[in-house]
Amino acid sequence: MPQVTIDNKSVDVPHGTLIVEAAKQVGIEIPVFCYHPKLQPVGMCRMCLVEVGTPKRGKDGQIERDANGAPVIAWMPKLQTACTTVVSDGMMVRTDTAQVADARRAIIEFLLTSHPLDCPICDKGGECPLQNLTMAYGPGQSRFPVESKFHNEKRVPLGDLIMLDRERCIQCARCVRFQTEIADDPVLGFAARGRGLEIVTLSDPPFDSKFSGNTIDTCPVGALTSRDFRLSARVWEVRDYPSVCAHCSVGCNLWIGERDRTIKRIVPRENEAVNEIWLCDKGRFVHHFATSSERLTQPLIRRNGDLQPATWNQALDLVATRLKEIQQHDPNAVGGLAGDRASNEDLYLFQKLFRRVIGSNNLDHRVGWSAANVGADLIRLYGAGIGTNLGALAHDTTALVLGADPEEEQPVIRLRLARSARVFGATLIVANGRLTKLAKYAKQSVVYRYGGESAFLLGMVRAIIDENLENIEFIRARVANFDAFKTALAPYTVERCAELSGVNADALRNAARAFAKSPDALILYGREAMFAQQNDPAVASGIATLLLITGHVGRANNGLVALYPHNNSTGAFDFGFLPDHGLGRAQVESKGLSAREMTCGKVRALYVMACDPALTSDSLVGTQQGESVRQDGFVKPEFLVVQDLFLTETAKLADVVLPAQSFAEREGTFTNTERRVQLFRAALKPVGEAKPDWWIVAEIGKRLVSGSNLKLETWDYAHALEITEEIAASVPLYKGMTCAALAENVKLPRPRSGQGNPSGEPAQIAMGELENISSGKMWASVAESDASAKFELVWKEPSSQYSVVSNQYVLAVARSLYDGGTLASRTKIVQPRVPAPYVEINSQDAEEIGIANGARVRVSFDARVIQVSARVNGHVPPGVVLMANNLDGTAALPMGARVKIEKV
Amino acid sequence: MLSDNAKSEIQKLLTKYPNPRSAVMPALHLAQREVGWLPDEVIQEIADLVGMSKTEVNSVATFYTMYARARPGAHTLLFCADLPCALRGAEDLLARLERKLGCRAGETTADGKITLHKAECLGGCNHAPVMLIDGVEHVQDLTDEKLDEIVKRLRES
Repeated sequence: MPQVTIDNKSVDVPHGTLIVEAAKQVGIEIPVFCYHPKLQPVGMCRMCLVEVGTPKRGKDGQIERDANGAPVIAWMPKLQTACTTVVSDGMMVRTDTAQVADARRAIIEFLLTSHPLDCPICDKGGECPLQNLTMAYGPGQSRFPVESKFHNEKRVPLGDLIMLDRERCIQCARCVRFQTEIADDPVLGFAARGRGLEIVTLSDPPFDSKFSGNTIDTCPVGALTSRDFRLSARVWEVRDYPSVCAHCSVGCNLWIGERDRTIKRIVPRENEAVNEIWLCDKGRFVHHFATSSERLTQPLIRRNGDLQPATWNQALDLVATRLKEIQQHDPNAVGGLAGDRASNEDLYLFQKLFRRVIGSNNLDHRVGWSAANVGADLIRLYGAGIGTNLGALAHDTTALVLGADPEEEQPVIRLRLARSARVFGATLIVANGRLTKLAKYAKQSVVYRYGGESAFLLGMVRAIIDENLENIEFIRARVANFDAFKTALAPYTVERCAELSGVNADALRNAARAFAKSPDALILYGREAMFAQQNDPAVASGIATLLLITGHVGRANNGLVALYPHNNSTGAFDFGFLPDHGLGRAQVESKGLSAREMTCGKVRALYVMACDPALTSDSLVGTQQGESVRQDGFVKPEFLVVQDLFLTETAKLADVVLPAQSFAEREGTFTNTERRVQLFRAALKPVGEAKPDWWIVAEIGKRLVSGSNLKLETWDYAHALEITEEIAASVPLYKGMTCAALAENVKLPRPRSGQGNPSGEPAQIAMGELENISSGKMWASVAESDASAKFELVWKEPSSQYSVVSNQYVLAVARSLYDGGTLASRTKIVQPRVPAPYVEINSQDAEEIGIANGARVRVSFDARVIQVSARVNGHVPPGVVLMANNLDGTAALPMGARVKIEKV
Repeated sequence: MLSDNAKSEIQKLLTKYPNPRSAVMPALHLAQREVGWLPDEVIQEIADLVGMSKTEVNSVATFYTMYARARPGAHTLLFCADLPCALRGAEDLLARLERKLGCRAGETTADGKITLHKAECLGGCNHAPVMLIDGVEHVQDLTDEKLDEIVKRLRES
């Protein structure tokens, strides 16, 4: 490792380290503007100039030494940029000389020549690198008269979310580079040059990116500010509370900035293992639901047909009385639906109420979600190993992403997988029935025929076995039934699987080789694969088989990640919100009722927490054998209790409505899609009389157990974290996940790609460590926690059911990041981002129907007809059309249905 | 907006570079030769052809001064603003020319006839001050009278 001496402090650093990073390791901060640890260095701002020298070598190539034996240093005649200069062995750097101080002073003076110095009215003031570095290194006075300043526009909207102040821009290009290198939406650029240079966006809509908010954080001046937060508070008046995002399942860490009992802004909280320093725009801007004027503020009871305000005691007593009446008659006549937005504490108590007090196993969370048990067992057995870091998968790791569209569903995971592939050289195999944005980074992009998922997986398995690439050692030790499996597999040659899945046989073999030969490999499977699994059990067995015969389970960067839709979907599985699974994903003997059954009149009492089945009941539609199965609207049971933030469609039908607190008002834990359990804290005072979900459940529990032989004290909780402790003590998967353990500070390395690595492979070099951060805790899968566990290969015939019929198209259903959901629809600022309903169609098919891009078309299936505009492109293969669910008029689309498309 | 011929020429250009993005500059030149300038539609077409975003192509087209992002007049005047011409009174002449045309350097006359640009050395220092008309006609030893004549001629053409 090269040794560098900076201001007389020596340090050994990895090959390829930049001076600015080496300096940090000896505690020397070199000031920068354009340099950003996550971006490629460009040396544009010149703030980091330092004196650099290297040992002088004589003609013989030997280092020259002075009388004392110390190397003679050849100092470079001019100052060098510390952000672009890579250290070499014996290098000397001086950052504390008069020459360096002069240079810094000159750069600051230069940057400020036309800067408006309007810090008192600038959002960045108080957390502005330009302000800070001017105080630290600037001249204090300018030699340029104020009148000579150039003036530029001060309010240039870059899209709906970001405001540009052209006067404040110092042309560092951090925003442009973020959009190009990290977000990979190159929609910001420089225009013109010199003094006239400005940041522009020419995309339609302007600044068309799901990550635009990050440019506010990376901007080192006040040029880019949030249109949402703009001028609403000074940053030092905002109190930051650590929280976890309440939207998708990535579980990004964030700070809720509170002032005056409202959320002023949300900014990312650094966690290298989850979201690095990024947030998507949904996570950053969609928070207004928490402080919406539509929030429920007090309990409501239906009297004479109307919902009327009541006290908590009246409401809770009524709920307890009615539930008890119905339960005493038949416990199985009581059902519970809980949304996967609720915290682990809420879910745990809710299931405890049902399983221990009411005596019913009628629990489900899959409202507006497919009817299949998508991955409860797979994840318990083969979930990705602890320590898996999706943003730093190395060149010896292969990730198969199956049937997922993380760009829309888990945006930060898309960002991180792209980083793994582009920066660290990980191999991505992206397989789906259509092309997604992620396919761009794939070494191998596979488009199979929808319905051919299992044949695709089996084809990979067969190719691995044909080429003897299976992990024999692992199979011998841990896998049962391999020979029988092989026998069953015999008729399925790679060619046959290729035909069934619509994938080229060589593509199958290449994918199989990459997956099997890779030292580390994992599978991420998303919504489209889960929907396929619902019809085709061979998808689940295919995933398991692929992992088992290659031995890619039970270690970091190996195993399975299920890309679920919501922030606590994993928690809902963990606490057994499935008719056939109990607490801790254990299979149960006596199956309860499913969400679909509970909402069509099979229970007398229904307790609904944090979900809206009446709104989405239509989407309890699945497909079986290509025919869609639908269910008519929500049937109100005899007694309906709804506990939510808003008067939802279901709440409007309820007998009792209980106002719950949003994630910003209470604390608890969420489990993200990697099974990482993370703590979040309260930031706001409760809205009205709203109570946390767990408190409401506990109060009902107390009332139900009073007078019974069940002990009362088990329902007394002072705060949510007492429940967290109870979970840690009583749920095996969460064993030891106490608050202290979850909040434990760890050191996380911040990897960065190395340059000039002699082996030619991208290396990960640490840029120091991130200290005093809790990264949450993942629970261990069986493959990881039990080294002696044996796994059985299960043979399931693959199917290929969505064959193409002439004049009909297979409907693929996607999700749009911004849609008409309960939370997003209550945030005005993102409404322009919600797309109008559309159908994506292949250009070849469009030509046959005679439609052009943007044309209105009529999509019909079953008894439904929807008019939408057509997007003609090459993202969907011929014979397939794609629509996004839950936009205006497109709720409850049945995946895989056959649809007709006609020109309007 | 680009002709099929221009598009196929650009397609050919793409094959000349290891990375097709590298063809953006010759593609812009080609488009400008055909269309006369680079309107938004052309920027979009080139972006699609070379696989860049519209914003990125715009950055290139605005960085280099010889790409025209604004519709030029029927005639373009490049007026040398370099040292030898300046020593022979070019600054004063340029100011007069601007008054005659009613527009500043970098702008186009209201009637859309003439666009005036400052230029660096036009290679005629021994006959300074010099000006280039429409990229082909080199006028030398400029005087106020000569400018009057030229402006009159171009306005009437």
